[in-house]
Amino acid sequence: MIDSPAIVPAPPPPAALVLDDDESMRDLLRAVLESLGHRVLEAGSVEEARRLLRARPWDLLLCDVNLGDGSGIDAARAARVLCPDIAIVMVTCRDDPETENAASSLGVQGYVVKPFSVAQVTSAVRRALSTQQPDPVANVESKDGSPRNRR
Amino acid sequence: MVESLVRAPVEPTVGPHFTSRRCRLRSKLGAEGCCNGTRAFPCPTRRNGPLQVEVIPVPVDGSARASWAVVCAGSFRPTRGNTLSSHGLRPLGWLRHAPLFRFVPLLRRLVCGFPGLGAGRNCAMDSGVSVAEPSVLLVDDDDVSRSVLAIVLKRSVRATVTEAESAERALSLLDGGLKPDLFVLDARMPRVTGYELCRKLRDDPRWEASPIVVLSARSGPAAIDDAMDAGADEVMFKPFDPLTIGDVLGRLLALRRGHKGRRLTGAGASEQDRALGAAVDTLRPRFKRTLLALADELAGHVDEWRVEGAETLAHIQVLVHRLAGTAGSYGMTDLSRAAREIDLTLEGGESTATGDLLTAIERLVTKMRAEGQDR
Repeated sequence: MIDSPAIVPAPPPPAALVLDDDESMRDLLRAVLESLGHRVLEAGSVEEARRLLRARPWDLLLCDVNLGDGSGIDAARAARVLCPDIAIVMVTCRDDPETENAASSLGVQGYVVKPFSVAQVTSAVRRALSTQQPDPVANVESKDGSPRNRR
Repeated sequence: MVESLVRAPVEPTVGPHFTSRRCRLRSKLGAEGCCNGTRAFPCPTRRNGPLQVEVIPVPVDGSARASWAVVCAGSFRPTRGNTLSSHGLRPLGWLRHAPLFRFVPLLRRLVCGFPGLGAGRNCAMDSGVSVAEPSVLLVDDDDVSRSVLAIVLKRSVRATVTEAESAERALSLLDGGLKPDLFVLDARMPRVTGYELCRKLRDDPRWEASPIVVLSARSGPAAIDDAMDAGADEVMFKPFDPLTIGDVLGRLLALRRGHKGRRLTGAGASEQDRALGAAVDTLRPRFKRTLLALADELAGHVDEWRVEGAETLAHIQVLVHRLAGTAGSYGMTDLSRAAREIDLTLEGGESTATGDLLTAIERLVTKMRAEGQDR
């Protein structure tokens, strides 16, 4: 007979949604998040993301900006309404001030520019989850990986 | 090899029924070669050492009857309370109220994948060989639930999904030659219910051994009994958590990608980095296959561009723009830089098939093929 193990309370692993229309990019982001202990589902379009956001509460949205059926900003806006405490990290191909401003106004906690290193995504996700609350001063991941604040 | 441990109940409120059932399960496992509650299952699909599995009795909706959660030991954090998910437990799956004679085969099936489906595919997946996506027939009259399940199956489980809004439609698809690897059936549908459809499938020699999951809006032992009596392998309750159902259906289809399921919460940072590095390495062969397909697509667009002018320019720009981000993130910096230069040129308003631009794109296609073929 095996004895009952000691009681060790553990928080549930964060539920993360990856939104990107590029399957290879979703693979990579999923690997990063799973290595951090997250439970991950993927969406390939804004509409798919909306449906999954409605289906359960989420802790993190990691989303591309340029998507086939719309903008990641639309998905981030929907996420803010459906899961108000969700941490959002935008991942995009271009350092576009207009997009960054739109993201910041939604209280997006992180912004990563492609191509990225795994370490950049990891640190942006950790920082976003540690803040968690919507904050107009978003952490922005610069190309060299150092955080900078953007208002 | 897979080992299973039969643990004592984690719930403080477990009654005599659970104790009795646990003893019977231990006895059953013991009769099959179990020693002190530990049993090793041969698992041809797993190559990276033993997988620890915990089998825990958990009350169903506070009822006195037990169901059994099968939990990865790595994620096992026993806590007070009577649900697993509220405490961060991540079950491999559930074996609800299964008669003991079915328990051991069900456990083996849950852990190792379905016979005839899991072994070959998993081994191929682990070795990076391209395999066909598994096929799932999803039968549900509720559009919302069906669409969420379809997204989970397509995007996260990487299955080919055929949707049917009724049992009649499902039967007609099967008569038309559809051969699914897995059935997901809603229990309550008008005219022919999911249970009735499940019985019809079990009576058909083509599907008598196929994995069938029934989704039930009713919870509790009666719903489990109905599903099991109809011949289902698994029953899951609505409203379902897409994360959990994705895990369970992915496991049922034995679709274990190299990085999937490695949970390192609580591990040291260096251990996480090593695991992540290994996970990214396992993704590279898949990305290289994607690169080859993208190279062919890009070459095709370039040929069209020569003939049709600017009509196909938008397609080229989308491909090149995406490639610049993705290739760089996979560490292919030269390829990323070449794509970025072309992307910037196109963004700058270049719309004619100039010699320089065509040469640059053709050089990019050559680089993509070289990277894609490099093993």
